[in-house]
Amino acid sequence: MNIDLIFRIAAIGIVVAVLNQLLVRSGREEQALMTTLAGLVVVMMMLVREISDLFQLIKTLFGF
Amino acid sequence: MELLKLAALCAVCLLPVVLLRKQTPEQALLLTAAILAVAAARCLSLALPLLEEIRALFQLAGIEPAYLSILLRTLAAALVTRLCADLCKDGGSQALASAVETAGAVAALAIAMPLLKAVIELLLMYF
Repeated sequence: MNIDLIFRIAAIGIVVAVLNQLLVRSGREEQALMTTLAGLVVVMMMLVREISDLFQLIKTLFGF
Repeated sequence: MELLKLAALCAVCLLPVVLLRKQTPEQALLLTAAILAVAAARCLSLALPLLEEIRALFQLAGIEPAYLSILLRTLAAALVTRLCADLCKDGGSQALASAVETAGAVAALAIAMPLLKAVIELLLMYF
């Protein structure tokens, strides 16, 4: 639950956005789509762990 | 004081979200979800001492701890529902948001059912 998670996800997002533009401009639309999907999966993996930690915290805190 | 830090965190992290929204909207949504998770976790860990005090107050007032746990669980359900519904609205889908809100209402009702039963039994005793 620390802040660097946010900065890591923001960095991945920006890198994916730049790569996307780069690939689209150089005419490789399908690679751009692949890059976006890859970025999505990576961020999703990190996020799922964070969300499960959050729900665990809610469960212990509110006595579920 | 902690509120200021949390507000500053959300304001600062809003910038990359807006930046990403034009290029890759799904990354912006995931980043918003991440910020939401961190802010909610930080906020809840602050609420820990408050909950202990409320428990002590309930003990003092002689109210059954079961009612307090019902109260807290309903609060948790409402909190999760609101956060998730707003995230769905942020992602642009109003239908998903209303679905989450309906589920939250049903969950809160299910949690509060024993309390309703107790109140009705109390009333029936007098009439």
